[in-house]
Amino acid sequence: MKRWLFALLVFLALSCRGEKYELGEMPIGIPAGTELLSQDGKRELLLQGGGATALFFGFTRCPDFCPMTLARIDAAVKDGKLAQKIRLVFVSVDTQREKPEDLKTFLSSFPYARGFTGTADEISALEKSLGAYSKGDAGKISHSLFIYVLNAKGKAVYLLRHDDTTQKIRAVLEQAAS
Amino acid sequence: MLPKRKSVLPVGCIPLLLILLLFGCSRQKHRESNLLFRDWYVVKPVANGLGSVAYGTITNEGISPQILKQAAFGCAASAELHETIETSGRMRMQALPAITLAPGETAVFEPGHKHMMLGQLKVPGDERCEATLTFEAVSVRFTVPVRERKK
Repeated sequence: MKRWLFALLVFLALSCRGEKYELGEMPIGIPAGTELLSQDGKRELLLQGGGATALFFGFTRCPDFCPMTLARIDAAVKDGKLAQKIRLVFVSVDTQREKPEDLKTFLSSFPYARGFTGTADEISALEKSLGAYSKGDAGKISHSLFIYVLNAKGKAVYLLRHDDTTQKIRAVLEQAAS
Repeated sequence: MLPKRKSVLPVGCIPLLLILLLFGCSRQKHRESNLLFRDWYVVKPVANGLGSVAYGTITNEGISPQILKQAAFGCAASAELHETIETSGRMRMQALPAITLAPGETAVFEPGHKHMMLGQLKVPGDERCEATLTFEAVSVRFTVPVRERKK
């Protein structure tokens, strides 16, 4: 009987332990001092606060993929204190139409998120530094599907996908923020 | 004296069955012209006047194919059939000119896949919106709720 109880306790302890992911600096990242036009209409540094950042490319007129990914990040971040430890940077690739006020409205439900946009050259340079690429205009924009998890130095340490589970997103962001 | 009949279902299953029945019945559906529309909803936009999206499923319960050609939502200025596609680490959206449903087939409109793209959405006071889906042979109208996105 005691053996059974011990086995059960070991099983419970192992199943309660959160999954660990391999995070490590990749040869991609944001160069120090990278600035873009923020949702407040000012030039701002993308990396701030010295913590981990989750960076995601999209555009505010994207009705399906971008809100879906943001909602997934939000579900991962909202439970617990992760929202205070992580900074979400949303970079709009719609350089033709995006306005700071659109970004502000679009991200109003995500207080830990900051929206940015810039000129086509600036966005292209940023994408290049992360191995990303976007194309097209208006409703036919295509953009990277990854959520780039960056350390305080701006180096990518993990690439999350839009269809990763909430649990995985939370675990990776927790690890990056710790 | 008759022998006591043994219950087929354990008594403990009854509350579970009741819950399942309740949830099963509460699933929003509309059936018309051999077409079944299930779980349709319009995602509430972050601000009035912005674009949004509608999701749900359509099942062709008839014996001939059905071709969905157009959609209109009373609460939006425009509605288009769209699909989000993943190619080489990128996502892009493409307009679908029509969606053909073979007999028995279900078209699923869900986040990251097929969806109805809505332009300039204004959330009505009662948070309900009339959808008109035009197929080649028939036009179907039903009301869908406007609510927050499922996470």
